[in-house]
Amino acid sequence: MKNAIILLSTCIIAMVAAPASAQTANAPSQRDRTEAFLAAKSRNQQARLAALGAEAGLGELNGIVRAVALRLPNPAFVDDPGQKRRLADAFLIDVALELATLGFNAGDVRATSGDGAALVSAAAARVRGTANLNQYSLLSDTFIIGRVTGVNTKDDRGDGYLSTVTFSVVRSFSKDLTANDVVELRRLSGESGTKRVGSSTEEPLALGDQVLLVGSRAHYRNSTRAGGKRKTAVELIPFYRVNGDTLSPSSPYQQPASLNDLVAN
Amino acid sequence: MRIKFTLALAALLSTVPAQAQVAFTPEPWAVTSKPVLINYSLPAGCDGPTTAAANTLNSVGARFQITGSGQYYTDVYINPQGDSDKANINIQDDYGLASSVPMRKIHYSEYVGRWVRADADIFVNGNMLYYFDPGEVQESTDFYCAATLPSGGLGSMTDYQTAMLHEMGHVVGFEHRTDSSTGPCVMAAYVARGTVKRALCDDEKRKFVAVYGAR
Repeated sequence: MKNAIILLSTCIIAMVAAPASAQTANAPSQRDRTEAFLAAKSRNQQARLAALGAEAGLGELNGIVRAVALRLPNPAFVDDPGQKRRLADAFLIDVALELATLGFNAGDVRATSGDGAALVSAAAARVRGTANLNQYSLLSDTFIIGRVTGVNTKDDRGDGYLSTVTFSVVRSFSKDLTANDVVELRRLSGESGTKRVGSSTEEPLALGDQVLLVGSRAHYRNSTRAGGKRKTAVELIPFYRVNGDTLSPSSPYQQPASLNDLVAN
Repeated sequence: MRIKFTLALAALLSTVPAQAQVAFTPEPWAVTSKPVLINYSLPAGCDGPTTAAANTLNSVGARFQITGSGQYYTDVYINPQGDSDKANINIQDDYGLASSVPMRKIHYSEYVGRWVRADADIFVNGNMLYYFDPGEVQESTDFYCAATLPSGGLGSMTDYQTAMLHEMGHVVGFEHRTDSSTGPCVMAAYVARGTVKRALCDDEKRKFVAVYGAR
């Protein structure tokens, strides 16, 4: 009894003095987790397909993607061969969906180098989060150095984004954009009524800032159905600040880059 | 007279030591704790680093704590643009992300006479975990999910615990450091691949306690 009392007292002291502990309990099995991932992925893909519509020609894009020798997912923690096959299939569908969302149809893809292999590989790398700057440039339709001419943090247009940054194009790497063209960047962060949203990957931009924007107007149109023909884009990767030839990352996970390297390509 | 005063003030300010280089949003939580829930679909191996990141913040001793009741959820994928689940800090997969980043925090604040943080969630790019490609070692930014670091270093991989601690820092209100430091502080604006930062710097700890008070 004495021991029990002492133990109880110790527990009370620990509860008061120790910081709260975030512990895991009742952990689901990896097999169940993988099933949950696949189920959510399937729902997400169906929603994206519905947003794109039949005109996206996804069937033909799927065929092109499957003809390219992409490395398929093979996570060590998934040991069920059936789940691995379904992961691989989900991955290939994601690549085709990504190409369609970025505005590419089968003809566009075939017309690029290697009968589309470079473009498909770039889309696959974006899906996996491993694309480099050159691969993003292949996927982007809004690849510019822009100067910030306007910041509107209260611009709720009902498209899921709350703010707009307006750029004047200083230099364009996109065929249909030239110097002094205006491009709008839609961002999640901003205010609407009594609600304010902030995203850790959206660093504030100020008037006069010069950035390398790697964006996609097609992605905005195809995922929101609200873009129309306005030159409104979303970021494919967080922007780089331009300081002379140096490109400084604006997200903690970006890699530094040089404008000279970019121009050389 | 006003001009003289302004000049005097400017002279005074010029002698003040440089401000702390760790920034904090003026929208802290109005509560003292929030439970963290882990999305059912994220790999089991990443749970430990998530817990360790939360415990690292808790051990600083600020009044705001990240607790661990009700650990998993599976049936609801929170819409990042319309999140109504304000009870928890959800760790969740980032489907359909427009910006391809490994991890990010999205928070919601409400105006109740002042801006107060009402919700914050951490979005993980689950594709980097499940679409893992063992052949792309050189280019890979895949997550590394384990407490023990590999003897040969992380290479180009992203340490999940480092990233989770950084994003949890955003959850409690930290912004990126303004000193352009790449380290060793966890809230550095840029984290080189393969870098491990599983602890807060002293000025980050002080700021955290100063904002919320000590336990």
